[in-house]
Amino acid sequence: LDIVATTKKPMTIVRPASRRARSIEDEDDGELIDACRRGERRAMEALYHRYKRRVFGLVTRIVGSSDSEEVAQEVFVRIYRGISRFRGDSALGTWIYRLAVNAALSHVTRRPRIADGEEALSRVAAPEAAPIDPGLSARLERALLQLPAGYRAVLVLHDVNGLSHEECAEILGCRVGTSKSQLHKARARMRDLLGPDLAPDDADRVEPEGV
Amino acid sequence: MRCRDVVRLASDYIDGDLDDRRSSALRGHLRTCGSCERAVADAARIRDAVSELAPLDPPPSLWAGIEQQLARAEIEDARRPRLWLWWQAVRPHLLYAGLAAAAAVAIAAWWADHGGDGRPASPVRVTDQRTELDAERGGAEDSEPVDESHVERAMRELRHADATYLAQIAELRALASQERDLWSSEQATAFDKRIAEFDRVTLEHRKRLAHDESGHPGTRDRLFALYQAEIAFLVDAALGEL
Repeated sequence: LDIVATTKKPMTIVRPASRRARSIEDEDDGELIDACRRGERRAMEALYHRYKRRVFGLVTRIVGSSDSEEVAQEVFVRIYRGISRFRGDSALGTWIYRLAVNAALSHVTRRPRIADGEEALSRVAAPEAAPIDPGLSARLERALLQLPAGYRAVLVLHDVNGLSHEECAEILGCRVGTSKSQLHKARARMRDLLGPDLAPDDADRVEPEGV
Repeated sequence: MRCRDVVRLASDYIDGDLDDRRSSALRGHLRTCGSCERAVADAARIRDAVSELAPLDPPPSLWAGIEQQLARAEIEDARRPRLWLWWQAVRPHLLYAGLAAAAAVAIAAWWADHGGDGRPASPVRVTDQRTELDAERGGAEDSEPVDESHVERAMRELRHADATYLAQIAELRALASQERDLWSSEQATAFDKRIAEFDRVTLEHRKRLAHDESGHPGTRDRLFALYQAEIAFLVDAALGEL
């Protein structure tokens, strides 16, 4: 058995392309910030369109879809009202993510009972194109909503939005090690929550022959 | 490598953040341990599936709602007392003055702990350590001394923080006096009494500082706390919260 087992194909780990492609920084953020500080509506709208999906997606996946519009609105108002105090110590994206996470987590604290179940999921905007099995996608979204809010935040920042642990730590105000351990626990909890729903993809699992 | 090591390292492994040697050891363990292999495969599958979740588009009404809230907030700003607006403008600078003072106090405390004879053991060159404060002053300190010690630098920052607080208190008092017509006579009396108290205590602190040859940072720390209390009081007074 040992001989058979040691000839098993090792599981290869490949980072999804979407994780590598994303970046928290945009090159011309500086000009946008200056124009927003001057109250230029076109710049404010441009900033909104640049960050709307990231903010709305993050907020929705932390607070649930029933309150997501209200919280996302609050986040953008805080961004525009506070951008004059943005000192550029971190990337604009990091600052915006921090505002969004803080607003979402404090909303969850204020109203701990988030909307759940099929009703909430049905209100999540339909994806333009579903890259994965829509059934799995729905199960994942449902499981996400059952995670503790802190786990949700780190899982969404790291795995959905593709940020590094350094960026997550800066946004969440914790150490890199804490971000890593929180993510590990979040994934383990997701595995428990999904259970048999985590449809196995047998392609990457090779069972020992003759066992 | 044992199963509990795999539990600890699995996330780093599937994210490609584990060094080669430990990755190899972990893969070796996975070849012989079915439960760990399943756990790591599941974690990787979850990571992959979650990273492929579709982005969520906000509803079109979101931007309109933001614009409405911004308009409402600007109208509220127009109704606020002038002092509130001024306070919002200077608050970041005050915060910076406080931070600079705290940093200076920390440096001075460090020096007091490590030296104590009035001279740090080895003066540190600070040629390339121009502070943000210097930059804010418009480069007026271009001729910064090259052999400035920690203590000299700390004292310079403390003096600057002191001057910043005093200037802002003076400006706040002037603005508060413009709001005075809106106060009742009781409020005005209470305000004057409190300001006189601040003046008295501040004077005591400053006298103590002038006679304090030790330069112990705690003395100035208390003075700065007093400045901050007065600023908070002046702002409250201007907002009708006397």
